[in-house]
Amino acid sequence: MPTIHWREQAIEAPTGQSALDALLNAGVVIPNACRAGACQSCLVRASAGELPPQAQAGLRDDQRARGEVLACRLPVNDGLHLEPAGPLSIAGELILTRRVLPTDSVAVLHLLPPPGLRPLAGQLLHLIREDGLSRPYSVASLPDDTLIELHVRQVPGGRMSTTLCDTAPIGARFGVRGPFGDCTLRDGEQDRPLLLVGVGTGLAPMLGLARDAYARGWRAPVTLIQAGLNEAALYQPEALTALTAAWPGLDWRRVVLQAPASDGVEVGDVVEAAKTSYAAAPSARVYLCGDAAVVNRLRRALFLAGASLAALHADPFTPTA
Amino acid sequence: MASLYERLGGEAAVNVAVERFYRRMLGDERVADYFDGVDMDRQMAKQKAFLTMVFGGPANYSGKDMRAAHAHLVTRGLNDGHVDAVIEHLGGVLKELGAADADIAEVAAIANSVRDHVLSR
Repeated sequence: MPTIHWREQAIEAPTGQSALDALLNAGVVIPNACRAGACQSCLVRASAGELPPQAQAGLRDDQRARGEVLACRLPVNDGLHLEPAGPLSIAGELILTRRVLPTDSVAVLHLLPPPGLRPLAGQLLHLIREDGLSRPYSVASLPDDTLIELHVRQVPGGRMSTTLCDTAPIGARFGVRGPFGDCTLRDGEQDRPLLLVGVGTGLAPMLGLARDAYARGWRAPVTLIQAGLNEAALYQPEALTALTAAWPGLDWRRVVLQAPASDGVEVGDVVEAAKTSYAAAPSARVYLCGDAAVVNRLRRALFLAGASLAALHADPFTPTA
Repeated sequence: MASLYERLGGEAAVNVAVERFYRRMLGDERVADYFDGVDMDRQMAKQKAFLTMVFGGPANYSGKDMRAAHAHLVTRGLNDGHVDAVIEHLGGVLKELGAADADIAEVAAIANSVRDHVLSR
């Protein structure tokens, strides 16, 4: 049976078990959610041991260089020494400052960040409840904003979303890790078109990117597609109202799968809508966010339409265990 | 003589080729169904390893890997026709990238050499 180490503690674990399960079984508190290498909740650092590529998939080069690794994708192996991912990823506490409920099932949260935490629009933050429960959310605000904006869909029976959408009082504190991810605008690309597609609360990072593009004085066309099951699902956060009013040049499309729809709202498949916008600007950098099934369909369709995977940034929501 | 891998331009060329190759495969109804529900990033990584191998680059992919990787597809009916489609698309991509006919034939021969592994024979 392989032996791994968490700091000074030796832990025996059966061959084939993930380091995450081994640590949890030994009573170590490790935030975790998807257990599939997507959410990066279980990020730890390895000071020794074998790290297969899949255990570092999706991490930035600097994270890999520090030995950061996803415990859920890391099989235990003799000589593995693990420790917390370090002060770089533990960012402190967020204070819930304001909560707006644009629909029954979505909350727009504004949170006061700790000093030094200035996530870019489109990056991920992990909110950690006091019992260790952790979930990732995408940032809709800009680094210079006083408050960080996150959008949360209330999942029936969802533990974290019920806390955030309903039961947590204003003033509640949450641990935060991050920011993570490269679903962000690239410097010096103001002349490159953008295609931003947000399904459901996948709108949050897309709204953030659109606001960022406006703030940077984007010169090339920018299309923001907001999609949902029906018109009631097309929530409109205040920042979106403000942005579309300030930026008439923004191509803002709203697409719903189910009729009826008011004027200005299209009925159809978001994949087809994205394809028409992509065809009009095939040099665009593309950003996609929403439920994994539709994001993966979008990604495949736009790849087939000619988009390079290097210019296709997908941020799929993966179900949590 | 430099390997085809080097002559094509090494890893940078494989990165271009793998996207074009994968796009052709996904767009070909003869084989596209086998890619349904497959994680695109992982699939691209495997195809990059495969192209590196058939272009004669640094090999860390073997016939044994090919056998294990495709065994579950053989139970779903993977056959010689599908392997032919793969080799056809490989040739098409190489032609686009300006490879000589002799090189394309060489790549086809290497790809053919793992045919029995892919089809679990």
